[in-house]
Amino acid sequence: MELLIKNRFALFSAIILTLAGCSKDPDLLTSNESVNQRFSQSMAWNSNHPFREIVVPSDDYSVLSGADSHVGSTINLDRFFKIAETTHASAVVMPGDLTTGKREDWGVFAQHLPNHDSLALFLIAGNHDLHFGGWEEFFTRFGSSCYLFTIETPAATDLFICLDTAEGTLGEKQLEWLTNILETSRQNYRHCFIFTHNNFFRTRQTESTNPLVEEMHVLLELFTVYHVDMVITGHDHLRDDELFGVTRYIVLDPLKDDAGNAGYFQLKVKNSNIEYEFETL
Amino acid sequence: MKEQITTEMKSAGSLRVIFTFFVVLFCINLMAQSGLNIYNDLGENNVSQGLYDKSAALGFIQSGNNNLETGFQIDMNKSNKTAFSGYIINASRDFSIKGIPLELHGFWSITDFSRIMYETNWGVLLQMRRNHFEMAIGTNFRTYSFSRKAVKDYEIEKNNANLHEAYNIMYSFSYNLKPVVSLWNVGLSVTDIDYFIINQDTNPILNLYGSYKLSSHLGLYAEASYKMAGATNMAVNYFGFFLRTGISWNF
Repeated sequence: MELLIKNRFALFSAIILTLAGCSKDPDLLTSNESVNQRFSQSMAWNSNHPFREIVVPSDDYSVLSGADSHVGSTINLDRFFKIAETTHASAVVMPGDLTTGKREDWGVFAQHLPNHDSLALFLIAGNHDLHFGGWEEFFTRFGSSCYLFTIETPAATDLFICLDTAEGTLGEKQLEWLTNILETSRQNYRHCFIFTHNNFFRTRQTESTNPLVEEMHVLLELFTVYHVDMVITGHDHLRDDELFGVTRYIVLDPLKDDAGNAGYFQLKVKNSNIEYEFETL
Repeated sequence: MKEQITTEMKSAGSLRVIFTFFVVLFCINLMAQSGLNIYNDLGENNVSQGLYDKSAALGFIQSGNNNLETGFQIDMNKSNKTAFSGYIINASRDFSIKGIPLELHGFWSITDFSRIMYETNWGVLLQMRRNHFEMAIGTNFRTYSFSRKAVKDYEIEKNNANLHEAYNIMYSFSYNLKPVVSLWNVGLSVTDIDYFIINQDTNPILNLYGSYKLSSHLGLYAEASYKMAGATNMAVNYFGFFLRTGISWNF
């Protein structure tokens, strides 16, 4: 009986320690920086790099988004950038899991990026990007993971907000920043789009993490009250499209090479209307 | 003014529910074994904007092997913008298989987390207690919904006013220092279940708890809970904590 109890206790302890993120390699399970620390670094970077204001000559424009490229290998990533250039996308947003998380992936990813002048590229960190001290690589090479940009057409200007949810939460400071942006600036823009890594709803059973229920409650209300048109996420590696209230919640197919459903997302604004398509690679 | 009237109506509705709760509890006390569980939570998390203070009261009746529990939650500092923030009804039956005592629960709950939205859950849970060990496993179905007022105010189409999630796995694994029936106890648990919040199965909560039976009718308990985000992202971040103190009273 004593052995049985000890075994149960060991099993219980193992579950707790695993879930608490302790392991022989703490860099894998816990990032070196908390979400609040990453947010502070992002804000410091933003203060020296003003938000980009993209001006397009036509009332119609498109934005491409591809998540979960998980470089390593770069076949789909290269194809995605080529499509973005040939379709003259006004911006490209990559909401997280750019790499598998290994240190050598960052150099490979950076080498395959298109010319900065030919494509307006916006990167966001995902959970894999934090592994093995990955945030330092991300921040050193690309800067902020929490910022906004705008696209101005002759008719109106649209707001794009990029958020860091790599650890399954916005954190206190980033939430405050987002709330402030929506409260003070949302009314100045026609459409509002949010890009982030973690998907929100669990309309199918999945092992991937979502924001905790209490955080979901706050964000769902915020997105409704300030009429966020679309929330575009990755993380779950399988497309999903839910309209809840006034906000459409999109989950992207992954860009990674070995995915059978590899694809990207095309967001179009045409005659002030929002259109979108899931594209396969 | 319109919002004030709506809030007053909502408060009146909440008072009616609380009054009914106590009347029903009084009546059922005359018929079967019953009890009351009252607790208070003080906590903080990434979205609470400071300390939150919530209290809850849950009453139960037991008749033979059947139990019925119902209760409500009040947000004392209205961090969720609505004072009456949760209601639950839970029916269960005790039975045993090969001498192992089990409880099968069926429940429905509503969490009124904002002036414009609420969340409902229903599900089933199988609970087992043995010696030092407690375990519960089950499933719940979550629906996020907009209130009728929000549907009107934000011009939301009826088809888009509710969002149903797929089944979620509920679990609770606890280890007690002493056997479950002891006068006092301390233990640890990992779970995604609480009375008025059921987290996604990928977001576990760690609890350290203790209990003390003042008499055969009266018990005190306390819990410290740690919530983390990103556990199965393998990138873990602090989300929040709460301290719970409670009293359970079997009439």
